[in-house]
Amino acid sequence: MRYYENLYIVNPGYEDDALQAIKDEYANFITDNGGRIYNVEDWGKRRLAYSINKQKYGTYVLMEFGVDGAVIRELEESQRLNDAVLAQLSVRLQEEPDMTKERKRYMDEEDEYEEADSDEDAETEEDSDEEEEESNDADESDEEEDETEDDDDEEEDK
Amino acid sequence: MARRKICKFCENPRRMSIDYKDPKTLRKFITEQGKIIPRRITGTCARHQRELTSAIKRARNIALLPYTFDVTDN
Repeated sequence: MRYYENLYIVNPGYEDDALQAIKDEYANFITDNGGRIYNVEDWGKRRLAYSINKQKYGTYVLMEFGVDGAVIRELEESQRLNDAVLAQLSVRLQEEPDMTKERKRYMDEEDEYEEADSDEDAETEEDSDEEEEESNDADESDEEEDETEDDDDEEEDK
Repeated sequence: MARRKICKFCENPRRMSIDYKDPKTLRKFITEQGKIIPRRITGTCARHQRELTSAIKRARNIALLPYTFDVTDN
């Protein structure tokens, strides 16, 4: 018995009954083939980081289960052929999923992706990345470095 | 240039874990352009940087993170 987690994205056009039908289809596929499901999570509609099949949003569904080897192949194939499924990813787990532990809630925030700022030198870019990291750590000696880098940025804008 | 940072994941294994399903944490380790930040800048240890890289690539695969952002020229 191998343990996997499978995350797939459903076309956002599918809702309620139609969506449930898809979720059931895959869940049943697993149990029908002698598998055991530990968890199914529906993350709901999420903004995609890039458009897939012209779609900007998708419904994410996560399944954690245990099954014998050949079954996971068939599951992936079936998902890839299904037009309703925009994308999928299967990961093999090292150990049996522990449902007793509290899980992280991944999807609490609405994710908005911002356009990148104008592309300057690679060097400057690295500097600004360092600034971002610095703010996380609040290291005093590093702040002096940041001030110098700010000066460089201003000069280049002129 | 190099500062003595401790790997965030080594330091705090309970709260900071690497998971491709967790774009919030992962986002801290990519640039504005979406590129993976080298570990000499983030201070991550080698092992976690490898795990990070795999996780980021998986997240990109499943559209939880972008491969790249559009860059507008001045």
